[in-house]
Amino acid sequence: MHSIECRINAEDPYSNFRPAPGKITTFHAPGGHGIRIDTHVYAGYMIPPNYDSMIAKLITTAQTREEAINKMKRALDEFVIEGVKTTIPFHRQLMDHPDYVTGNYTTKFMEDFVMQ
Amino acid sequence: MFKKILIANRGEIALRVIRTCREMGIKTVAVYSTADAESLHVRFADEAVCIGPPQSSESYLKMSNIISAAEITNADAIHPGYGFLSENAKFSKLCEEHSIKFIGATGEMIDQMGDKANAKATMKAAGVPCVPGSEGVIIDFADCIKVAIETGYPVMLKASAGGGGKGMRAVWKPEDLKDAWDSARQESKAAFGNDDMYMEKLIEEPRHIEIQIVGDAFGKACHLSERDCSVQRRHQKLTEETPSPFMTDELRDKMGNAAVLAAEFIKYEGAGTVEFLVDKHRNFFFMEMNTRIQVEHPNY
Repeated sequence: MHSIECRINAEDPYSNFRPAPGKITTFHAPGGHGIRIDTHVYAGYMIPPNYDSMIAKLITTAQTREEAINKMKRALDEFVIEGVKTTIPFHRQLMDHPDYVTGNYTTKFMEDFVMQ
Repeated sequence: MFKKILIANRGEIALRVIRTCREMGIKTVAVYSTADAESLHVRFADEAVCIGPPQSSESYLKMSNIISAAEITNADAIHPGYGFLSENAKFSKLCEEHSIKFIGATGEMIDQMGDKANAKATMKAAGVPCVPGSEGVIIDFADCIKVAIETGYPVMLKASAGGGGKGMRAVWKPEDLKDAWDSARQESKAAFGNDDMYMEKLIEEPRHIEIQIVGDAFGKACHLSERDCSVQRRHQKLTEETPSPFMTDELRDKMGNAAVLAAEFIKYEGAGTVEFLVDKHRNFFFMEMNTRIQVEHPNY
């Protein structure tokens, strides 16, 4: 079995991951087999600027790494959060990055990562 | 079994603890700052106590307010979650003094693992592999040559006062050491007014791989395999996965054993994480230990 977790933060990945607190206007969480979400937010929730920017943890579990990645892509595509910027687009790109897909990444990975 | 637990935290971790407590038939008390009055943890807990204004220092980090909240609600335990007071030795001791069970490490365990220098000394004593390098500040260039040979190339020269990559030099071979030593010291002097240098082995193509451990109250611990947390930005993890794509069965055994050794050496109780850096040759080195529940939990 293989599991992957993406931390969804209220940050703008197109703007150097700058924190983006504010009011969530729409919130739709993905579902289905092998998907777990831990979150404390909801539509209408006001993210205060005082604390950590993590608003959800999205976890997929499947038989193989490839399946877990495919499941994560599908879950990220289904995940809708409006009103604030989030790191969902970053994770979606990460799941297609050749070095991530092959598991060939180190702690230096993000130094060269550029959002498309 | 506890009758009532106060959760000294907010966000998803507060919810996660409250959910488990409800399933176990344990009453819960939420604490919240005025910024979190509309939060789910406040609604889902059996009771809720406002502990202060939005600033963490006046609410989620304010020990006296949290202890008071536990006392007025008759909670017999406090779960600190992660962050905030979860790895605060003083708070752990304070709970003990008030006969409230702190669901986490004791003050002594946190002290042993809390600051990096302490933790490294403790782990060296336990026989857990640590990043080789100088013992403190390098005296002079002659000492530098000697330490570099003992450490083994490639090495990293680092300014004691350093930060942001200033006063830092990677040195791959002995003939480059003198230039690196001179320029790093110059840079450090200019940036920090101090040219003290220390040395560490350069970890080639480092991966952040950590081992989840759980210890009981009798000095025994076990590990639950690894998580690869190498995708990180400014030391903030962005994703984690398990098993690590870089892991082998042999390495897992070795790292698992080292993590159990670390936990048992300090008689660690509860859930914790032993973080390692793994280089491209699959050598691994102790980085730090998180003496609290983990943020991440991809499991397989």
